[in-house]
Amino acid sequence: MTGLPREPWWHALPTMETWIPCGDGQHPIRWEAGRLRLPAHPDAEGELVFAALGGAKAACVEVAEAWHRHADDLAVLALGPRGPADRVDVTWNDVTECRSGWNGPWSVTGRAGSRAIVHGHPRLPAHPQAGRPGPRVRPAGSRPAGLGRPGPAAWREDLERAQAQRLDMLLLLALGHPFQMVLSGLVAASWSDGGARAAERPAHRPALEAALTGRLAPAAAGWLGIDPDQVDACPHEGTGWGHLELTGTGAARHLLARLPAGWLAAVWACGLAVADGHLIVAVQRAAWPDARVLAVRAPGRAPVPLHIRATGNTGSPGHRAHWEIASGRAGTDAETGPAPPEGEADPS
Amino acid sequence: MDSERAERHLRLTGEAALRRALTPPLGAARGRSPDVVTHPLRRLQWAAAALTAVGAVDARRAETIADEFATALSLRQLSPAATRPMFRTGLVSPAGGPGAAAPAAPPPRVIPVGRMLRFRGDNGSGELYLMSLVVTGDQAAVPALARFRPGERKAGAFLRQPYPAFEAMTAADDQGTTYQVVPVGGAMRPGWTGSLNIVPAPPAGALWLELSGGDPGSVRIDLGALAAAAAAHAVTAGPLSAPPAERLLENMVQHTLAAAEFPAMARDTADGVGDVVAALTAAGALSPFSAMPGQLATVCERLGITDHGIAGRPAAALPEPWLSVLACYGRRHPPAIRDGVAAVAAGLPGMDGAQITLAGLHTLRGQTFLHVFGRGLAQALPSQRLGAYPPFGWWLRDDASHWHVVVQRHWEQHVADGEGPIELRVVPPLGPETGSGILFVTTRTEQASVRVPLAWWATP
Repeated sequence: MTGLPREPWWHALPTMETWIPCGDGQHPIRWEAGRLRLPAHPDAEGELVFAALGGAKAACVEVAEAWHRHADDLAVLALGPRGPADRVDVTWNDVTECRSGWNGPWSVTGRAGSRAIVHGHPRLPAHPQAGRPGPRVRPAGSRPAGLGRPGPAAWREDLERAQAQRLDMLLLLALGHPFQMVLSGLVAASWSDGGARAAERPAHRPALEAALTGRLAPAAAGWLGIDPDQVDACPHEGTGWGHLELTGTGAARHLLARLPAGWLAAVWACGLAVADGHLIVAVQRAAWPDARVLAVRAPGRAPVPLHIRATGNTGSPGHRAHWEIASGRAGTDAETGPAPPEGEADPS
Repeated sequence: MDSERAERHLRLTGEAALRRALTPPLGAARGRSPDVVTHPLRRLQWAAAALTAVGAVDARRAETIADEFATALSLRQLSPAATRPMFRTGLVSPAGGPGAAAPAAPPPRVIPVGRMLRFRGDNGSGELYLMSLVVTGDQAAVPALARFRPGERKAGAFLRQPYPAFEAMTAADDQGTTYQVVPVGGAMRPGWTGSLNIVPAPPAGALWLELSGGDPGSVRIDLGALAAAAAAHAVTAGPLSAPPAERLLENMVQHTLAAAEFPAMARDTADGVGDVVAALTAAGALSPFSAMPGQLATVCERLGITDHGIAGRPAAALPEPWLSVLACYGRRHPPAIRDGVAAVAAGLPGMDGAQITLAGLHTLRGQTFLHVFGRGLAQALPSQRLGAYPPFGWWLRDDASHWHVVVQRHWEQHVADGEGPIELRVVPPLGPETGSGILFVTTRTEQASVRVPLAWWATP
């Protein structure tokens, strides 16, 4: 988001905490000042060394490891929530079941991983007149034979990797919705300008485009009353906040948006996508529970700076903040003034 | 073709699937109606299969995307049974290609047999109609059709034992060597059809092979007549010019037409054509000026499938073969087709490294099957990689200028690596009054048309 103030994307988030089963008790996991913290494990690194020597690894430490392993993993955006109302409810029982199901790689069933995944085969009719075919799959446990195909060792490694990934994802999703949103933001930030993976963005454009569209569409539906299937978003490259364009009328309305990947982190992951009838397109400055943002009242209109404030508590699972305009309300001069050239939003 | 556009389309289709499952239409509870989940997911799966089949997106990438969205649905506890991921991690077949074809081997040898053999076993008795003997390097097989004698099959045997009891079948050659006879095929009421595999293959020096079925009488096959499969008379041969996307759509047309006799089946078969067309167009694999989507829409509508989902107008004109098949099933009183077995023994020109031998044809109870022995087919045929449709989609024009689609007998019939027999269904069926036809064969990049004389010799 070149041209816009650069500050940590997570400044609009509160400190949040959840408790997880660890050892014989329950331990807190905390998101605070942009970091995941393990208050019950002040020497997590020492515990890792101990685990490497054959000792037991604490569940909290496992979570932290998974968190860091997937902090730039686009699969998080594919699996995670699309909005505040999208609940991905994974329990610690699911995690336990996943662990106990570790009977070797042959029980592994999915790359992305879920308790509900049981690989089956689409029903293929026994006779061409008996029904619809499905894409060709091989029976469970079978593997293709022939030249150039992975050998049993490689296949086994592949499945073991998939199982580990599956457990990681369940661990992370079991932290609850607020943490799922934060992790999504963390991933998005790593692919944004200045992020560790920013340079690789062109090669992953489809995934980022889907992540943007999948999250903007429900937000835009609430903002404009538009059919979410009529929303397309793509990553904005270059300076400024991006671009919004609404075409058509009635049911044929179509919203085309160009937003930076960082929008997912600084705006969406902080629950700021829509506030008081405005689409928030950028955060200029934030310090929970206040944020100064650039907001668009309607497509085609220039973004205006607004001061918004969160009410409610996002610090515990099941709660989420509600952002309201604290100043610069609709109808003020700030909103009706001339639009700055695209990409040069008023930074004041 | 643009792989980025293809992946983008897949992922956006997945997002739409997830959104629709999360916000079902009014009256459908979230996660309660399987259709709310399965339908959007199927749309993603068909798009993935189509884009993979035409090479627009890497199979492993498509697998990952489809898995991710299926997992996203199941994580939201939306009807787990309905959200099983389509693809198995790590089980994607590698892309086929000319370089992956089977190593060169001597061409198959084939001899027409055209004899009937009585058999008797514990579970019944009947007649076997032996079409030909195909011998390759280390395999020998006799495509055959079995009819059971009425009342002599024990009750329930058909269900318990899908293969007829050929335990009394024996095979021996002039040197006294005996062979195992292993039936490979499937029940087809009121009989059985498939191949009798002769294990091991008779050695080069054997003069004859005699088959007996436990009933008086035997069939002796003169192995001295075994020769390289007589080359079918090639009418044309050359590279295939149609782009992969159009070939995939034609394949969909062929399979829809093959089910034309049964409207519900045709509807099932055509399910997803709109999604496939949209995916191919979005990926740039299908030209926006292609006539194929409109033609496909016309076929659907002619078959009463109005909700095909293909954007754009149906085409006014259809290719002649399609019209011919549609006309056949549009008849109020289609002609009755008599049963029969025809000897066919011909080899096709090598295509994409595959060697295809035509080994027989039979019609039973209004269904016609072409028996083919193929080597290297798995690499030579399209749509083997998570393909939306089985790879066979051939045409046959009979000597009365009527057209027939030639498709796989079973959707799930796997075209094995290496070599093996395949049964292809010919629709509409052929009767003994048909003396010959021209078979139009396509592989991944090549096509050929060959004249196929049909010597009908028995009426089972």
